[in-house]
Amino acid sequence: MFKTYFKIAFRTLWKNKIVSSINIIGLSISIALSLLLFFYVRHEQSVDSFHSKKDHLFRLEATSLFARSDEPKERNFFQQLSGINTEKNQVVFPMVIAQDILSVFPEVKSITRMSGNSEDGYDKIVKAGDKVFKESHILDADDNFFQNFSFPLLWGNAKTALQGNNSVVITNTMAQKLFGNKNAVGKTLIIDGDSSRLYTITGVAKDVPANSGIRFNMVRSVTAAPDYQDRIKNRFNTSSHEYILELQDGVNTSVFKVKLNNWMRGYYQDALLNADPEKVKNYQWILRPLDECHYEANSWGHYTNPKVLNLLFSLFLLILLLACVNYILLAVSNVVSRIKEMGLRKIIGAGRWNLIMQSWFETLLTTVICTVVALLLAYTSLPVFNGMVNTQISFDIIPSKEILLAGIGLSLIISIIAGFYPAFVVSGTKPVAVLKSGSTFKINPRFSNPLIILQFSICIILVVSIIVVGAQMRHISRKDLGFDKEQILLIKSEAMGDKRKMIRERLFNYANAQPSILGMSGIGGSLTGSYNYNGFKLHGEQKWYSQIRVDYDYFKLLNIPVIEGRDFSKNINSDTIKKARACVVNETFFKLLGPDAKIGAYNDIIRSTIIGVSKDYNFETLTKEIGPQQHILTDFYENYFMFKVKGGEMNRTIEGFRKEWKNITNEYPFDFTFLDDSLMEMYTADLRWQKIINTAGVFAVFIACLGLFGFSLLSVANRAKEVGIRKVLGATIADISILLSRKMVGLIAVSLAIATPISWFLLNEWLQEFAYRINISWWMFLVAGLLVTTTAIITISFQTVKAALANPVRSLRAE
Amino acid sequence: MLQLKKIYKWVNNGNHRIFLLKDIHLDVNEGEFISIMGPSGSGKSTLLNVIGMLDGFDEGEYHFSGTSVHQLKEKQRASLYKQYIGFVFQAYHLIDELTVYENIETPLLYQNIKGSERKAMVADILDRFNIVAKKDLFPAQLSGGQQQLVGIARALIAKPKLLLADEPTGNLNSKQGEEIMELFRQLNKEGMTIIQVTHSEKNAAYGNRIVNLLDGMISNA
Repeated sequence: MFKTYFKIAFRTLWKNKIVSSINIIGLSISIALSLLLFFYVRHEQSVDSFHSKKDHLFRLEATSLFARSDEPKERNFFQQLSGINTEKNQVVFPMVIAQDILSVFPEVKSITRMSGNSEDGYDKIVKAGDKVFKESHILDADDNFFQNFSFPLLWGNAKTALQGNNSVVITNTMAQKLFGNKNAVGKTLIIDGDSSRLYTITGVAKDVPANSGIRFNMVRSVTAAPDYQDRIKNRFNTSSHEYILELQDGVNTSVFKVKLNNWMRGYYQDALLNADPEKVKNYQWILRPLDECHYEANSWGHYTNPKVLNLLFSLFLLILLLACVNYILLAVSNVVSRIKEMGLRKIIGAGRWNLIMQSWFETLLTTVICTVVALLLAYTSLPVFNGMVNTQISFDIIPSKEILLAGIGLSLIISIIAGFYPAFVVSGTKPVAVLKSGSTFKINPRFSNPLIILQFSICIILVVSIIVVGAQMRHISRKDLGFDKEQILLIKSEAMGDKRKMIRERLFNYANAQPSILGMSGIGGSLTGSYNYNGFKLHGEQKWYSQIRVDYDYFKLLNIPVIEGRDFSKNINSDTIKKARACVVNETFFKLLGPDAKIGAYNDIIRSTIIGVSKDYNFETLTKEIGPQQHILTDFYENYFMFKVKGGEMNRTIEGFRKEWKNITNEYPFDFTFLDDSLMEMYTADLRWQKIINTAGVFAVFIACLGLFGFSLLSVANRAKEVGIRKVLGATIADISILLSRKMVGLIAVSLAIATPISWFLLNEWLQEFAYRINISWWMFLVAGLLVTTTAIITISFQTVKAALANPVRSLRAE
Repeated sequence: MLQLKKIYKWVNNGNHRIFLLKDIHLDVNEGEFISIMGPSGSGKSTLLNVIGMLDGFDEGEYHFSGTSVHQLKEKQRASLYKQYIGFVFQAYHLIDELTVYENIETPLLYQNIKGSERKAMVADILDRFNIVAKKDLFPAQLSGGQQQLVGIARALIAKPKLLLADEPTGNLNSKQGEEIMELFRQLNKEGMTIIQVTHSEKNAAYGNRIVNLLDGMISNA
């Protein structure tokens, strides 16, 4: 029986080539997207689950003591949807507590302390032979690192590799980069220019897999870090290391947690002395299973954003829904051509269930074909997808059994969603319908209208999203930030103290001699808004300001007007006197301080002397309002030297700097960027979303149009007789075309009415995340509506015009 | 074999009630070959559909080999005709997607007959109708007469007791028509009860009784 079902299904597909290809193309694309989503979710879930000891490994966390309390607590729709935990736990602890935990608790088998695993960790300079590299992800870890975590060593012994202060393990890729050949064991290198200590490579590890939240290029023993002794001496004063606890077999974690916290209350008292008593009351330590660490953004090498997961999921669900709707629409419209066959089968003995199964098998066969095509599509488009959602999924990570299972599962689910309704409609045919020839069948609008409206609503929502998101991103990139960001070259510097002073002097001397360079300055700290936040009490209220360390001529270089007082000056000694703490604040800060703040006078509230007030400008992302800012002169380090370069001279200037840099220091690699580029980097996530929404929107409209094309094909075929009669009665081609398209325009109007409030709500919520945002206005909906209507009319016009041009004799002759 | 008593069938058109069948009495015995005749719109096909249980009626009684059809539910009625009745149509109504062999085999599939048995039965009837050579062709590749032959083979494959034929030769030329009618006569001789609807006096003469219909009523018995 099943064989027969498949045979018939195959022949039916083959016979209706156009409708079948529409279904296959639409469904294949949607299934491919769903598969990619599935792989993405699986990939994210698999993070850190490859460690063989993972059931025994936990990260120690503590509830936050020092969080800024002025961050908004309200959560908008998207945040609620994603359930993000905005409360950030503290994940670093003092170096010394490891020994004490181990000695008190037999439940703890071992502890691995780590530092340097966070994404924004500082780069270090690595020198191997005469080659110098700047390397990120250099981990300091306890010597049981390779025993507790399943990172296999290609060379070296996992137990002993990290013992001793001069041992370092590097990854395979690193070994090739530094030493060219694979076995680098025994070779030496220097880290951060500390030539007094020569590190010996004691092991080469396999590269860290993409689904690992612990990321390293190099691991050295915690005891090897230059500040190790200091940290031990500091006891509870500096929290610096992440703690991964390995518990003994059979330890009940919740019982252990209570024990641990009871002990901590006594042991850790000193560390909590200065904290807010309210917070201390609720302070506790938490054990988070290792494979769940990646759901928190804190100091972990991989962050799984649940919001992204949810949004992606909704998008793909929408596209899948569109394809299913297409299928249903076409299948139901196609019932007409099946009525004779189905009625006949009933007469010769088929039960309704037989017909349902037969019809469903057609859907199943279609989805199976689509799944195979989709797997190929997913495979080939994986790199594009990876780039778009910024991940590194590979088919190697996912077992083939799972891929197969996903394929079969998807085929079945889709065939049930898309197949059963048409099957019921088709099988409901009355047998006598066959015998009553001459009656015409029309597609029942009760079935098709809601489906078409659903499709168009989804399309309009996505098109409006494209328009609004695009407008907002344009708004951001064109917004006047209050300073000049063009033609500013940034040269990165790692040097501190005297070395930085020497480099700065020589670099600025060189720059002064270049006619192409119009100005120079520098900034300490990164550009993306991670400055120091300092707290102060204003009229008893806790406030915060951000502190930016700058070099001389900072305001001049960026063309930020100083509206009161003056800029820092090399000629005024008091600017560099530590006690006076000269600073330039922005307007917002000055206003916040109120009339008590006087220019040139020492201010007790912020414990510094305000020498000038600058106009507000925006460095941080435009998702935030401009807050109070304070600028002080940098003395110890500056992350970037800034140069204003004459237009058209950029490339030559960079080459000049490169040469000069090499002369000045061979220790540090030459690393540069441009101000406008690095500012845009803050919006990478939003730009990525824009790309995803655009792609999803285009696919959605494409799939909907495919369906519409098929639908118009069938509905025009069904009305062939009516069209024939009308033509005989004198209708023109235009009359017929209008007749056949009129209904579509009405349906789009209804969809627009449904989609407008939904998209308005969703996009307004999205825009709330930006402090500087556009207003959603009526023209955006109008444009979306027009766009969709035009596309739809063009799509159906292929069929309507053909029908209108057809010779009426042909359609009437059959009767 | 079957008995129709006071059968009425109508449609309501506004205030008017239009009778399709009116006070039909009909007794059919096993082994009879009946021809239903009458002008267009006299209710011939409707009567045949009622007998074939494809269509219901509004009033009256219908007994089929001891079963009261008018008291049966849709599903029971379907299983009754599935078992006892074979249909032949004017327009053959073969399934275009299936080959000759598969078309004939289909009713057996729906009666859950085993594969080997099906094969034997289909082979048997192909042989008997002399269409073995055509078994892998699709309906579109056959002439009208051949298609009707397949249609009859399909109607007979499940070994029904009653064969209903609605203008079986209507789409055929006279020679093909004669062949089909000869086949019917042959089947009747072997014991098959046949009821056919026809326009043609000549075809009606193949049967042993003629029922004339006019405006939904039997005008002679």
